[in-house]
Amino acid sequence: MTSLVRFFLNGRDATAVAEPTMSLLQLLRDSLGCFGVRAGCRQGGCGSCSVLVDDRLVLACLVPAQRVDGARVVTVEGLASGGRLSAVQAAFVAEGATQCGYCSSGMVLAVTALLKENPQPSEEDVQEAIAGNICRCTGYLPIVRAALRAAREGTVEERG
Amino acid sequence: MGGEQGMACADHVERHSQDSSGVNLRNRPGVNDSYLTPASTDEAAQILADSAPRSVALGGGTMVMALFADGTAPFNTLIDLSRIGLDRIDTADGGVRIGAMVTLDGLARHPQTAFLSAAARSIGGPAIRNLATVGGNVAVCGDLAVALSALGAEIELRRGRERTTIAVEGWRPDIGEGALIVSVTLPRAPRSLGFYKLARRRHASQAVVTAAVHRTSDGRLRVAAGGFHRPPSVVEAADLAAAGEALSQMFEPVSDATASAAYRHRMLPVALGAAHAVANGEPTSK
Repeated sequence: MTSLVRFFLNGRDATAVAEPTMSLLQLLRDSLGCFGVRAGCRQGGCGSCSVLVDDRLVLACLVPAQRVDGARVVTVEGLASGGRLSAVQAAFVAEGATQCGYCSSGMVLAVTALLKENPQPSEEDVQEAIAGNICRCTGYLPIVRAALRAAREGTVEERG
Repeated sequence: MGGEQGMACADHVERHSQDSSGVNLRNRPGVNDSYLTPASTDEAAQILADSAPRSVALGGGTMVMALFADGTAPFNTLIDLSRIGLDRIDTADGGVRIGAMVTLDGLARHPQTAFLSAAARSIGGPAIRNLATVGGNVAVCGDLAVALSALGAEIELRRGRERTTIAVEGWRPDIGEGALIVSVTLPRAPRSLGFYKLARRRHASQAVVTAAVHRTSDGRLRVAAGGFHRPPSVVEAADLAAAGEALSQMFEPVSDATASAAYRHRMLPVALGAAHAVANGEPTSK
């Protein structure tokens, strides 16, 4: 029993066929080519598939694909605009907060979600915000510095 | 549609050729799989009762979707509860009724359930709390079940048209077959709750032992411990020493990847003492 799912993906209309047990992660990667959404553990344990659904941070591996019908979904591919990185992305580059890069898209979205809600977070706020996102390079300090830099330097519009 | 499909993020996608994660995809869709979105609690309860055990109630998806990814899901019918309006927190006559579909984030932020905020925030990271629900956490005997059982909370169940209630600590997975958790109710809202989750990391970590201490209106302590997906152990006693003694007699922790049963037993007084300190407003080390 497949279903046609229509939603807004990175500001554009998207349509895809979803099986009943399909996750948003499968839909985004396998049907829509959003490979910035990482398929890490696919169990909700690593945070690498973090995306925004209606401005809220969620794990795409745990969201049933059919549930996003009508929703606004933002992946890392949707953060830059007009060839310019978002403030959070630019801060990750400036602080060298990427290392191997596998966790980066999820980390960037977790920080983006934090700054939407709390524009001037403390270091502890940042730590709590990225607590569900694992960096196996263990490069957490530059990631925290990047989040604080984005809060300091980015305008609200630049934060994606 | 049509040709536009698949162009959202990449110019070229080989559709359906393989799972792009590189892992052999085990949850091949079955022809009998179905995804149902009932529009009312009555309808959801009826479908669930009629289709057990091959159906599952889909709350936040944090447990159910992981089973599908793992290829170990023993059901093929998903009953999506997101459109039946169980996402409210209501207060009446001094009590609180928390809808099963309230998210952990929603629970943590709601002014009427501030006493459960620490318990809700102890679970997962922000992305998990935006998805995971009160009903789901209670159904798997999570950390929230420890907090709720210390408060004497009850689970409101629907099995078809039949309505029943059961104490949170009395919940067992076999009770849930074919039944819908509608809400969790508290006879009265406490001012505060002493809650402490002893874990390896401060955030997004499984519990070694989770403990909750509630001072009842007659000055006694109602104390619960658990946190490892077994029904919480609950006692009422005059003071902490008596509660700890009684609790350690009945406490039957499990061994898993987080901690051994023996270690959990050793840590029970630590978690209990910390929860008691929180209940008394004393500072605890983080």
